Amino acid sequence: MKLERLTLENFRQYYGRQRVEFSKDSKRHVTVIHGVNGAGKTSMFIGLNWCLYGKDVIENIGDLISKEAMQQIAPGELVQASVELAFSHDEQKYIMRRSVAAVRQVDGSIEPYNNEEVIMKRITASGEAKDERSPYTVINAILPANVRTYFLFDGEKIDNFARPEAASEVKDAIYLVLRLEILDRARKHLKDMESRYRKELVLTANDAQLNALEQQIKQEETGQKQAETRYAEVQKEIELARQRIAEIDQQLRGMANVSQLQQEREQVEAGVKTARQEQDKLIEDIQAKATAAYQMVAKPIVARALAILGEKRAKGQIPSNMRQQFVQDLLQQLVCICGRPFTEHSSEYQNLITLLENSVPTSLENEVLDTNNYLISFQSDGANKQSQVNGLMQQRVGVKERIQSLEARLSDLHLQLKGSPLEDVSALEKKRQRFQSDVEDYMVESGSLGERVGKAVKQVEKLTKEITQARKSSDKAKHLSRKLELAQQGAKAIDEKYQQTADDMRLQIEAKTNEIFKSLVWKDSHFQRVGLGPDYNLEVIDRYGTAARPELSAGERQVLSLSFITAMAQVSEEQAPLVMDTPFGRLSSHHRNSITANLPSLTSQLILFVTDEELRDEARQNLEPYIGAEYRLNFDDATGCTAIEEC
Amino acid sequence: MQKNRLAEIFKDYEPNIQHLLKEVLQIEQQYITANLNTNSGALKEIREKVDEIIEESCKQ
Repeated sequence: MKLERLTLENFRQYYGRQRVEFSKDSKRHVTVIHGVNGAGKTSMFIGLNWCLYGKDVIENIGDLISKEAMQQIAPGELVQASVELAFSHDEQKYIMRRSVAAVRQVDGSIEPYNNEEVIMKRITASGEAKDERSPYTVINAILPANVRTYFLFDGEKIDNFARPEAASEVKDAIYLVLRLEILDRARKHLKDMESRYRKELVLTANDAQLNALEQQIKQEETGQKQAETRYAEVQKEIELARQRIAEIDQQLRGMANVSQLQQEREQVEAGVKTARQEQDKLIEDIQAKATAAYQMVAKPIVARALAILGEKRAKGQIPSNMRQQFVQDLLQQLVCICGRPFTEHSSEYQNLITLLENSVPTSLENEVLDTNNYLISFQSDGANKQSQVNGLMQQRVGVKERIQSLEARLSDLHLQLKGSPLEDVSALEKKRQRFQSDVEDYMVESGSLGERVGKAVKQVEKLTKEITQARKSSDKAKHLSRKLELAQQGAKAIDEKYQQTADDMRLQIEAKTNEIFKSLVWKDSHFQRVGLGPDYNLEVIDRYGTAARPELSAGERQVLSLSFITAMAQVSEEQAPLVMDTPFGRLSSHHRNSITANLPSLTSQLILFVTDEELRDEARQNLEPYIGAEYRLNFDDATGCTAIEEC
Repeated sequence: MQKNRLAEIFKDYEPNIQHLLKEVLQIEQQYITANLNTNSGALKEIREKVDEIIEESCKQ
C-alpha cells in the first residue's frame, strides 16, 4: 500500500477543501508534515484513520465537522465533512472517501443529518473509476483494521510494547500481523468438523452390521436353494409313484378276474376327484359370501332400530311416510286423498293444516325416511345373504357325504383286490398301496417345502433391501471415516507446525528488532542484545548479561518499541507505509539523530507528523536526502482553522 | 510471514493434507478480511466450506 493524496474538507479544524500530496518517489519517500502543538497534526492523522476504517475503530474521535463550517450555514442548510484518500496497492489505484453531514436547526442547534457514508473507487488502467461494492473488505485485505495501529501509529503511545506488562500486546501484535490467527481459526474449524463427522458416524451403519446382514441372506439363500432342490425331487417322486400306480392299474385292468373291480375303482376315483373339485368351489363361494357376515350379525340390532323408528312414528315424534309436499299439494287442490273435494275452513282442511304444522323440516324428514329405507334394505339383503350361505353349506354337506361314500367304496375295492386269492393281484395291490402312501407323504412334504420356499423368497427380498440400505450406509461410513481422518490429520499438522511457526516468527522478529535497536540506540555497546522470549516479553540484555528493561529511559523504551514495530513490519512483508504522529517528542537528540538516519531505510514510505523541535539540526539533515514532500500546518487563532501550506 | 505463504509451512506433508490446509487457510483469510468471523451465519458457512474442501481433498 502506498498513500498518494489526502483531501480534507470541513474536517475538524480544516475548513474548506485542503489537500496533501504524499511523496511517491522511491528514493525520496519521506513526507514531513510540520505543525506546532494544536496545529492539526493529530486531526490529520485521525482523518487518515477515519477515512480508512471509520469511526468505530478510533478512540475519542470527537466532533468531525468543522465548527467554522457549521457557523457559516443558515437554518435548514446542510454541512458536510469528508476525508478522501488516494492510494495504490498491487499496481491498482484506489480512491476512498468517507463523509458525514449535519443540518442547522431553526433554533440554531446542529443535528446529525446522516450516518457515515463511504465510497471506494478503483481506477482502471484506462483511467475509469469503478465502484468497489465492499470498501471494508478491500481495505481489510490490504491493511486489516486490527493491525493498522502497528503501521499508522501515535508517537505518544509508541513505547507501549516496551512496558513490563506488555507481553500480551506483543503476543497479540505478532499473532495478528503475522497471521497466526488464520492458523488458529483453521485448526478450530477442522476440529469442529472432526466432532461433526464423529457424531454422523455413530448414526451410520458400519461394516459389522453389513456383514451380519450378508451372512443372514447367505444362510437364507442356501436354505431356499435346498428347499427348491428337494421340492423338485419330491415332484419327480410323486410323478414316478403316480406313473407306477398307473402301470399297476393297467396291469389290473388287463387281468380278467379283477378287471371289473379296477375299472370301477377308476370311475370312483374320478368321482372323488370331481366331488373334491366341487367341494373346493363351494368352500370358495362360502368364504366369499361370509365376508358379508356382518349383515347377519347385525340382524337383531337392525330389527331393534326399525322397531324404535316405528314406535316414534306411531307417537308422531318423527314423520310418517307422508311427505310435507304431498300434504301441501292436497291443500292447494282442495281435494282429499280419497278424491273427495273439500272447502277451505272445512274440518278436512283444518286436519291437513294441523298435519302440516306438526311436520318437521323437509331435510330432516328426508334423512329419517332414507335411514328407515336403508335399514329395511340392509335387513332384507342380510336375510338373502344368509339364505345363500345356508344353501351353500347344505350343498357342501351333500358333497362331503358323497366323497365319504365314494372313499368308502374305494377302500372296499382296495380290500377286495388286496385280499384276492390271486397272488399276483394281491401283490400288485399291496405295491399300489405303497405307492399311493408315498404319493400322499410326498404331497405333504411338497406342501411344506413350497411354504418354506415362499417364506425364504420373502425373507431374501427383505434382507436384500436391508443390505442395499446398509451398503449405502456403509459406503457413507467409509467416506465419513476418511473425512474424519483428513480433518484430524489437518488439525494435527497445524498443531505440529503452529508452535514451530510461532517460534520461528518470534525468533525472526527478535533478530530483526535486535538489529534495528542496535542501529538506533546510541548506547549500542552497553546493550548487548534484544530478547523476545517464549513468554513474549520484549527484553533488553545489557553488557552484564542482565535484563535491563526496567532501567531503560523513556526514550530508550520508545526506540525499543519502534524497533519492534518496524521489525514486525519487515518480517510480515506487509506492504504498508509507516505513518507516525509525533514520533520523536520524547527522544533526546542522540536517538532522534540515529532514528532519522536509519528509519528511511526500514520502510518504503514514511509519513511523519512532527513539531519543529522534533526535527531540527542533525535529525533534519539526516532526513533531508529522503524528503520528497513537506507541508506546514498553519493554525489561525482568529478563526480556529488550520491552513495547509506546501513548503 | 506473508499471508499467501502461510501454507508453505506444510510443504512436508502429504499432497492431500497440503491441499486441504492451503484451501482452509485461504477460506479463513477471506472471512477475516470480510470481518465475518463473529457472525454465526458466517461460522456455519465457513464450516460448510471446510467440509467441501475436505470432500475435495478425499479425492486427491
